[in-house]
Formats: sequence, structure tokens, C-alpha cells
Amino acid sequence: MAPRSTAQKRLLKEYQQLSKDPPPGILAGPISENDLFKWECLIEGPPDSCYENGVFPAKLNFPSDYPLSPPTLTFDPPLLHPNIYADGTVCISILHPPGEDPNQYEVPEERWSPVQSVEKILLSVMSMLAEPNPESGANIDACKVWRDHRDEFDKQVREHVRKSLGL
Amino acid sequence: MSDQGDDYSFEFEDSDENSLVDSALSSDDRDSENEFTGGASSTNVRTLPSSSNSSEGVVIKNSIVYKPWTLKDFIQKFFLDEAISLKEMQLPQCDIDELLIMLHYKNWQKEDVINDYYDDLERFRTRCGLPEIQSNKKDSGLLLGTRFSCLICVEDYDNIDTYSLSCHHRYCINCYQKYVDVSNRNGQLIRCIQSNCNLSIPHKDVSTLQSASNGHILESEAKKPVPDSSNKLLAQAAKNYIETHKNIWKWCPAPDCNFLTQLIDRKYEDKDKENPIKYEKDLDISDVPIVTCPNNHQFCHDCQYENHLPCPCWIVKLWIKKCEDDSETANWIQANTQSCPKCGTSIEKNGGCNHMSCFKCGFEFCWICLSSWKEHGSSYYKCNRFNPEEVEAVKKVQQSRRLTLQRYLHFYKRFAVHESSMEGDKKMIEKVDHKMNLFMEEESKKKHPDRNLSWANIQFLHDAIRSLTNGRKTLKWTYCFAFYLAKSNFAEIFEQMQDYLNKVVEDLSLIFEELNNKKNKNNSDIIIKRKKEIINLSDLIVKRQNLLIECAQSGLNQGLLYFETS
Repeated sequence: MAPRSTAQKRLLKEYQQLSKDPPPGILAGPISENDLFKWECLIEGPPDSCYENGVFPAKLNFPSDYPLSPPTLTFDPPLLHPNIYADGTVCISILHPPGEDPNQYEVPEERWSPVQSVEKILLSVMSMLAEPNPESGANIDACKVWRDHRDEFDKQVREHVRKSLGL
Repeated sequence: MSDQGDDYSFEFEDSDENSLVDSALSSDDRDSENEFTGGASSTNVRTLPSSSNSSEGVVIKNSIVYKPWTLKDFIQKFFLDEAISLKEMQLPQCDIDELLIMLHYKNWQKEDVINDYYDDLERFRTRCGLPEIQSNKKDSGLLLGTRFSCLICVEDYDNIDTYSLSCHHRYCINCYQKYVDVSNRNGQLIRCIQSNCNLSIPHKDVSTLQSASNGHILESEAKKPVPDSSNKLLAQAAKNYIETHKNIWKWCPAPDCNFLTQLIDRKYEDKDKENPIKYEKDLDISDVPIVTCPNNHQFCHDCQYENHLPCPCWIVKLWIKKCEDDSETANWIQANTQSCPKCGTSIEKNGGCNHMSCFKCGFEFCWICLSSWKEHGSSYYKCNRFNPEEVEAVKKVQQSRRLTLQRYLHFYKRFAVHESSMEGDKKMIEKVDHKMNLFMEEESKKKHPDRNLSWANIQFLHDAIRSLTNGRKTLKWTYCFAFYLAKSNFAEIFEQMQDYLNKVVEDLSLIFEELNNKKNKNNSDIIIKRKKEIINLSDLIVKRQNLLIECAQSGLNQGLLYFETS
């Protein structure tokens, strides 16, 4: 199918780029060649974190006005993490359009802009796994456990990793 | 305007736009509007014979001082003129684009801009998204028709316009146009497309970028030296501003009307201005702040609803809520149906015998005593003998519910009829207008016109039309008023006056109907012939309308009329 819209062209280009020169620990691409707006990706758990050795599948959903609006990223199955909602949806700044906050430049975190890319999103997600941001928690329960009982949190995550690997 | 100068049906004259602009209060005045009323100036204005003649563009009516605005005048006055005055007075070293960005960032508060400017200029400029003063502006801005590869849409163009701010984040005009269109929705300053780049796109560039199509901008747009009042970002910012100053600024609620009014002062006399809740059930309808937008739509500045006199605002709220929510549907169900004793389904009996069988659960029961039909055997209505009082009580409750419902429907029906008649009048008026226009054209072509007709001669039609619509509007709201009115002798007088108004409104409406329906070409003859009648009737409507409102007002004030809202 020949790509027509800007979004499709851009997504195809990003896919080519990602397959040619994939960043370490990340695999991503459209589920089917017929629908460039739905991607599947595999994200490796960053070393020296409780997610180490895990490989986590996630789905990327792109809006039709991509790259003006950011895609959504959902871990399937859901992952225990302070910044991931119970249904697996990831909540980080790069997936949000610039807010109304007039002082936004003072916030160091990166917001979405058409100049960002899938690669940057996935890299941000990897660093999010390594360093959760409890300031803007999405999963309050996970936040609590992470903050108050780190051992318990690590244990639960390792359990999940082991199960996902079929061990 | 037949009703001009009158307190209640006051109409704002189409004043010319320039005078609006020249005379508008500056934002400083707006901030200190309370002083405005205290000083001698307000008393001077008050003594003007007819407020609409006031060159100030400010209208004084009863307890309210207000000013009608168009959105363009608003932008010119509060945004563009402010920037120009900053340039001329306080900050001549800045250019207009930068001043607009600063004002926009500071929510159009001139004082705040000046404060921040002198407080820490570097910091203020960064926050606003302005480049450093000594930054190199070379190679920034628009580049027309070049070869370019855009990183956002990943296209290679042979000939396309591109844009960047002084940060040199250059992208193609197509991407920039889409970006600006999307970003303009919230009315905030639009920053560079690059994330983490905080530079703001100047207002005039925003409209240039928005003019782009097929990779090229509209040159006429790019040549404008300063943004004008049609700028979309400024319009959005104005909407934001108005939204956040709702107590002073109100949009006209009429459909497709883009005008607004500014509340300048309200006289509360002995009332406590700070505590409007205290007057939740205020009976003084002379306080209702009815304003008129530049397009001659009257509306209430408090509840932003059309002119709802003689009803006070709180009655209007009650009525609208009553009409909106489903409480009356529930009443109807209660009054006209019974529930199946087994499954609770509502059943309406629309004929037949009292041996019911529920269509849902199939339960067979007696409509009268609501118990299983099995017990009834072959002897009909045996159930009535067991407990006649209980049955009577149930019937009584149903009866009273039915009455309440009927009462509501009576008033609502009339309210709704006038509402729809207003629509009908509007359409008819357009037709009459069209016919008159044709007639006038024909007449002007003749070398020796039969009659001495001029535009001024048919002006009376427009006045008549206006008083007809206004009369209907008042009439419509009297039904809401009457619904809540407690029964008394004075209420009857009120109803009598309502009846009078009803009659003249329908009379005039009928004449227009006839004008419209007559198939013959001598329509204009009829209009001329009936001119006197039309003028008389429209005057009568205005008089009756005012009398009715006065009657309601004095009745409420003296406690002769009062509301029942349980």
C-alpha cells in the first residue's frame, strides 16, 4: 500500500530508520504493513534495575494527525511501575503536548513536539523504567509500594519478569 | 426607533465604530471602575437626555452602566492600542511585535509588563520567549521558494517556503501552518515547533503562517507591518480574556452573534455588592441588567439569557431547569400510569377492561386493586368492596398530580408557542423586507415615481418588526412569570394585562401575515395604506409591554404579587 498522508509517510520513514539503525534494547515496528498507525514494540528492562533481564511488549497507537499529536504507549500485559496506569498506559511528559503552563520552559522534562520521534519516546520509556518519577505518579498503589517498601516492589517486579519469561 | 429613550425596551442605536474605539474606556479605567461611578463624571453622563446619544458609547440604563463592543474593537482597544501606547510612552525601544508578546504573556496587563521589564529584563524576555537582545536575526524568519528537506513531514521539496525564528529551527511552511492551527486553540502564545525551544512566534507571523497553502504563504498577509484586529491568535486570546473576566464581559447569547458587552458599573444602592447570594430571591426586577449588543439583541447581563423581563433571574433559572430536566416526564408517568405489581413496569391503560396482563412479565392483575386477577374469579369489581377508601386515596393523589401537570403544560405550551412564533416572525420579516427592497428598486427606476417614497418612509416597518419581536419575547416570559405567581386579585390584573399585550401582538403579527400572503403585486400599496395601523399597533405593543413590566415591578415591590416556588 502506497503511503498517502503526511502521518503515513513520516511513520514509514521512522520505521525504516529504526530497522536500519535500532537503538540497543528496543525493537519496534507496525503490526501489519496495512496499518501504519498501530505499532508493536519490545522494550528490554534496563540493567541495574529491578526490570533487568525482562523483555516487555507494548503497543503504540498513533493519531491520524501524527506528528502534531503524540501517540499513546500501552504495556501489554500491564507493568507494575509508578508511572504506568493499572491498564498499562504509560504516562510520561514526552507523550503529552505542551501544556498551558506559561512557565513551561522552567520544567526540565521534555514535552511532545512534532520534532520528537518514536525512537526518542522509547528511549525515554527505558530511562523511565530505570528511574521512576514519583512526583507525577499514574499508579498510586505502585507509587506507595515503590516509596515505602522498595524491597517488596523489587520483589513483585522480579516475579513478574520471571513469569513473563516462562521461568 | 419608536421605543427609544424608554427605560425598559431601550434600544442601542447603531453607533459608528470609530466613536466606539475612540471613546472606549482604557484598561486602566476598567481596573478602577468603581471610582468611575463615585465621581462627578457619572452624574454628568446620567443627565444626558438620551443615553444612546452619548458620544462615549456607554449606555446607562436603570441600575446598569454598560458598553456594547464588537470583537474587533475589543482587540484593537485592549490589545493593539495597548501595545502602541507602550511603544509611544513607556518602552519606545521595543518594537510592536515584541510588545504584543510581552502583553500577551502578562495577560494584557500593561503595568505588569512595565514592572517585569524594569525588574529583570533578561529574565522577562526569556519567559516571554523573546530572543536575547544581541541575538543574530540573520537567516531567520520566512524564506520564500527554496529547496528544502523537512524533518517533520520527511518530504524533500524543490520549491517551498520555510520558516524559523531566530533559533534557526527551520521547518517547511506546511508543517508550520498545521502546527500553528492546532496550537491556536488555547489562545496562549505559540512557541517554536521544536520541543524545549521557548521562543514565541510573533502575532503577525502567526497569521502569515496560517495563510499558507500548497507550500507558499499569501504575500499580502506577509506584507502587513503589524497584526490587525482580524488576527486569529489575538481573537483567541481575546476569547480567553473574556472567559476569565466573566463578571465584566459577556458574549451576546443570540445565535451567531459575535458581539459582547462590558459591564462598567452597577448601582446596587443600599444593597450589599459583595454578597449577591443574599438577593437570591430578589423581587426587584428594576435591577435586572438588560443590555443590548451592537446588533440590537437584548439580553440579561447576569444570566446571559435573552431579555426575560418581567421575570427575575432566579425565576428564570427555576423555569429553565424545570423545562430541561425530566421531572415533568416523571410526573406524566405518575399521573397516567400504574406499575405492574409484579415487575414494576409502567403501564398506561388506554382502553379495554380492567383485566390487565403485563406485556413484560405476563402477570395478570386487576387495574383497580392491583392484586392478582386469579382472586377475582368470575365476579367483576369485587375488589372495590374490600377497601374503597384506599382506592379513593390513590385516585386522589393521581388526580392532584394530573392537575399539577396540566397547569405546567398550560404555561409551557404558551411559552413554547411564543418562542416558535418568534422564529416564524423572523422568517416572515425577511420576506417582507425582501419584497420592499424589490419594490423600492423598481420605484427608483421610474422617471416620474407615482408616489413620493423614500427609504425613510418605510423605516417604520423595521421599527414595527422590532417591537413585535420584543413584545413577543416579553409575552413569552410572562408565562414563566405566571406559572410561579401565587393566586391573588393582583395576579388576575396581571393576567388581564398579559391578555391585552397578547392581543396587540397577534394583531400586528396578523397584518404582517396578510402582507406576506397576498399574492397580488400591490403589496406595497397595502403597506402604505396600512402604515398608520402598523405604527399605531407597534406603539401600542411597546406601551402595553412597558405597562405590563411596570405592573409586575410595582406589584412585586409592594408585595402584592409574590411567587410560589415549592
